[in-house]
Amino acid sequence: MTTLTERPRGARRLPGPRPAASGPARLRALLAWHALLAVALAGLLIGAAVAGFGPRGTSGTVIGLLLVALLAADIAALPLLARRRHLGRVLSLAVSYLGFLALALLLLQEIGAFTGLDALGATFIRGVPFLIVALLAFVAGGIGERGDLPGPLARPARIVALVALAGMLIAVGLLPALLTLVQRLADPVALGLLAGVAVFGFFARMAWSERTADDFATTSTQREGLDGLLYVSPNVLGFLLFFVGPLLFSLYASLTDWDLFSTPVFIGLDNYIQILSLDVAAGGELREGFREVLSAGGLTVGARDPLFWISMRNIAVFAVLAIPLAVLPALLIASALNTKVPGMRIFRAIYFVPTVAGVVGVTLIWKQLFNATVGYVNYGMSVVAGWFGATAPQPQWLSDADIVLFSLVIVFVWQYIGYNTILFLAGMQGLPADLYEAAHLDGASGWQRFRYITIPQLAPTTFFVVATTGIFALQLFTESVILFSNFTPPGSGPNNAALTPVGYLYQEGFQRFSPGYASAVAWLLFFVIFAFTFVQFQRQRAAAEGV
Amino acid sequence: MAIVTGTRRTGILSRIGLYLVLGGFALLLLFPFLYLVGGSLKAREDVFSYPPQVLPREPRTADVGGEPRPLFTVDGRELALLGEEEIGRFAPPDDLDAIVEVPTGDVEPTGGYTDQQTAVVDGEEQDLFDVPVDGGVVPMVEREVFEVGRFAAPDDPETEVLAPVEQAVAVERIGARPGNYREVLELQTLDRSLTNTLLVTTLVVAGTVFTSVLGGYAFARIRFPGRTAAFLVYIGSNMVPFVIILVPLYQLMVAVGWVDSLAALVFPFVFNAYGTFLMRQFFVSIPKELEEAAFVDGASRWTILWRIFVPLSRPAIATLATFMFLYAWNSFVWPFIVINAGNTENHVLTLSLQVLGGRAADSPNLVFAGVAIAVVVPVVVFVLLQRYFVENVATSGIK
Repeated sequence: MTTLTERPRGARRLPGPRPAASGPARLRALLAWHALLAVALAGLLIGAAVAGFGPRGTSGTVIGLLLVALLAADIAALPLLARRRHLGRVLSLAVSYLGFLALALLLLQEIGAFTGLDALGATFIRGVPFLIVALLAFVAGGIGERGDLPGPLARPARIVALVALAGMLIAVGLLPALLTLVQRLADPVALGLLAGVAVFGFFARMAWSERTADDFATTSTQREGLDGLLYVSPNVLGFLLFFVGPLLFSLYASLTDWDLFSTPVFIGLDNYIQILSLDVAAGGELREGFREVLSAGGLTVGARDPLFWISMRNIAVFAVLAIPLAVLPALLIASALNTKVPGMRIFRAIYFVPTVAGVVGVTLIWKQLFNATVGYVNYGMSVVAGWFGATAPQPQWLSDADIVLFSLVIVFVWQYIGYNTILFLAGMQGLPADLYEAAHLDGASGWQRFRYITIPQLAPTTFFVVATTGIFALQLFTESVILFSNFTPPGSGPNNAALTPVGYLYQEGFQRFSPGYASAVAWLLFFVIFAFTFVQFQRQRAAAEGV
Repeated sequence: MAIVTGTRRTGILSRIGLYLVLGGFALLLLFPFLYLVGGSLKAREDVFSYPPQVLPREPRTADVGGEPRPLFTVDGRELALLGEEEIGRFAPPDDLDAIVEVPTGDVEPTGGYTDQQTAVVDGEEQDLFDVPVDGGVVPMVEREVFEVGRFAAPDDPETEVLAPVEQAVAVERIGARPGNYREVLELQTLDRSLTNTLLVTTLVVAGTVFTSVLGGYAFARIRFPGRTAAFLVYIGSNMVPFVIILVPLYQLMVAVGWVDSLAALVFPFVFNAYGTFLMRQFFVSIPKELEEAAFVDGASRWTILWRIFVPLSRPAIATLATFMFLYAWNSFVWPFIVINAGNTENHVLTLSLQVLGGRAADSPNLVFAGVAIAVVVPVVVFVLLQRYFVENVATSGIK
């Protein structure tokens, strides 16, 4: 390694071909491997195209494109490898490594390793005591920890945790499960995949080896780059497979007419036009194909897709109420919490609990609290009204179309207000204390300090809090599904009064089986969320510059 | 801060006011949980009693003649309910105001059961009954029937008092029914959902920590081509709401045959941009000297990562683990879509609770017990790890 780093930087680029005969056997093996792979891949692709085997439809297209890309990289690697260029080694590594991973995943899929998780669900309970021991050991290891110095229990705690984890694996029956998987390898397809994994792995290892690196005169910067790519690869590949890929596909799907059972047909922006078409009629009839969304003062607004607009109207009303109510009180409470009096840590922990406890659970509690006849909400209102000699209205929180959005607002605000308080508090604790001292000396009142120091200084925190609250609010779905489970489709509420955009997306994508249309709804919702965040960001910038 | 810098004289008062405000707010946030715990220990009818109460109650009983009888308050006295009786109000057809009250068991149809005589009252034909009055028997029509309870003091069961049961107030005491928990676990295969949730959560946490540590280390310490661009994409992806990829991710699950399988709940979620970002931010703050010394000693990157970086990163790892734990444990939308409602074998807790909650009218006490189980685990994990979590979530978000 050291000899290489001392080599002059330009040395690698010296002109003049190296005699191929002097190339080591490793290089010839790599060249042969890539040539063979190119032939095999080309044969596979041509065969699939001509004879028509392999998967059809969208997944067939995607797999085909990936294989073409792999083939292109493989062919490109050949001349570069022969000339011992670094890029050739990189391409060779990429082809072998990606092929290795893909085949390994296919093999695991073939022998049922992934869906085998379901069987573990039955036996996992036996591992739970071990898991708890491991968690407690982890917590104990942190006792007495100060900054970078580990606590006195760190080492024994780590051993206990590792032993407990091993115990868990044995207790849940991982060994028999692995044996079953090994037995399933005795199958022609699985054996073929296994051989492929071995071959790709072998050549990946060969191209990665230290001696190959020396053959290619790899510099330390290049070594570092390859290291980085290797370390980041699990994360990036998973991210591509489960996030970027679906995201791009969603964009494509939104431009198609697709009923899930046939191949998608590209229709351009038709889905978006269908969703967004509006018509306004003053007193008269709406145009053909438009249905009423709302009417006020003689004006009737109609849409081709009224449900989308109803869901948008609902979420707009919801957001206008829920976001300020979940943010403004949090700001006030945070400024009260921001003191050095004892017990604040306990309050901070308590305020987090509604967010931590899980939406489904807490919404089920609220469902009972909202019970119109025996629920605490209506009872509480009567008690309070009774103090003033009045009678409180007893709203039907779960079935009155005019009320249901407020029920959702209450549950949402209750969930996020404590969380927002903690975020504000953290922001306040980062503010410079000398500003307050100066203001205090100048005779500024508590309110003035809050208004003219805290608020402007806190603008970045406020942006973050408002943006996250807004992003959660605009994606409202779970709360409505739980509160209004007895309506069809789930969560729509009486007369669709609780229908949210995500609920509508769910309806289109998973109940009416039009994923293309649902994807268009999703992208429109994304646009709304993005616009909301962007406006908040602009406001924050303006506020920060105004200081 | 505004309060700290206030004058000393108002210190005590404002501190009391502060605690009142903060305590009231805490109570507001905690009250539904108190109601939850109480409700999970109630009998079914108790949940529907009015006014609503937090603590579970059960009727008190007294031993009368060797049998437990429920106690009621009647006219200010605590009496045991011995039984109920149906009382009829009867009147002669020619004088409807002369009403007598007689237990319906004591009357017989005039003319026998098969050949009952009738009389016309208010233009309607009504059955006649032989009603015993003052030693004689008078045929009368039935005007009204109501139920009364036969009450007696437990120490004097012979002296019975007749009173309407609806107006008697049951004597109750606080009494919990922990059996609800066992019952709900057997219902809806909630026990299986619980272990499934534990399995999914454990795997998601372990997988995310592993990939995030590797990725975060690469982003923080290794220079590789495309690092800056990839990192920007990662940060940007945090802004994209999950619902955008709901439809295509489901299609992907269909393509690989993971619909209805726990695999669909685990593997797509172990590659997390937020986790990578979090670990990267922490690793960047670790002084370079520590690893340089190890490099000189010939340690590999792998060794340096697991022997130096990871042990130093307990707070960040604990934060990420807690975050992913809460996320995986509480996630609902994705399981709701990808796991079939009929396949209870592969349900996770949130799904089972949703199904159970749809039938809340049958047994809200059992729903509460299920919710309590689902809520207590994340809350305990949070309490154990909040030392790391609260500070990191609060600060990492703002950077």
